[in-house]
Amino acid sequence: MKKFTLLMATVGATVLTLVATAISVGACHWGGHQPKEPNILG
Amino acid sequence: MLFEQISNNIALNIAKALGMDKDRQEVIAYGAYILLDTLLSIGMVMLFGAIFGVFYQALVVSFAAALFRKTSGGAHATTPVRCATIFAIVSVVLALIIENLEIWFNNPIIIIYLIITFVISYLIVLKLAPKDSPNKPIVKEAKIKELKAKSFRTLYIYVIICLVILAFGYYTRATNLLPYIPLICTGYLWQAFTLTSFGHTAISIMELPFRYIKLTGGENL
Repeated sequence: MKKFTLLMATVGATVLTLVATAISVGACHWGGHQPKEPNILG
Repeated sequence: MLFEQISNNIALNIAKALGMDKDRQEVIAYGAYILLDTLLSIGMVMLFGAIFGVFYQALVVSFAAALFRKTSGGAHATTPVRCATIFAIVSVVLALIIENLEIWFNNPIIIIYLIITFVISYLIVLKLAPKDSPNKPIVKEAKIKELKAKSFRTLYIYVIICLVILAFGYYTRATNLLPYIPLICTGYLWQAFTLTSFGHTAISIMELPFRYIKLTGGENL
């Protein structure tokens, strides 16, 4: 069970970090609301 | 607010499981927020599009606008729900307008429409792109130049896609793809419009009704 949780957390972290990084290189994302970007990505 | 809570919870759980620091947790929360917001926006367009019978047309308009928006920036609503709703309503209304004008669209009119929308969008991008927001200010000169160049590139790609559809329709006599050209043009024209001060005013006006919608906790939607 712990192994599965760790795997899911790793996959989630990878996907969400990729999404965040991909959006950070643009001026905006999909719709109209732009959340505050983390400083580390700025 | 709800989106922030959900994305922060996701990030907290992931960071705890993997023993990450605060900076990485913030990046994951940002990614989760973006993902949820994007899914909500597309879901709203699909829902409204299906209700009004312009499912594919509304999706084409929204994709054309959204991909262009990524590099050019534009006017912003204040909450994700407002943004997704306004975005969906605009996409559906534009799709309905094009759908109803479809009988007037023949090859010469489509070409004229393509040229007019391209020229207007080009001039707006030249003058105003990229349009930043208080949550994401773009100050570096190199970044501004890069995003402007990418905005032009996106615009050229749209025009090439439209010309390919036009040529394909002309040579194969297949007319079922032609209505997608005005939809693409309208999508990027709307996005270019949101870069202007009129576009910002339009979004602000569209946001007004949301001030009267309160959630059970007394918060604004």
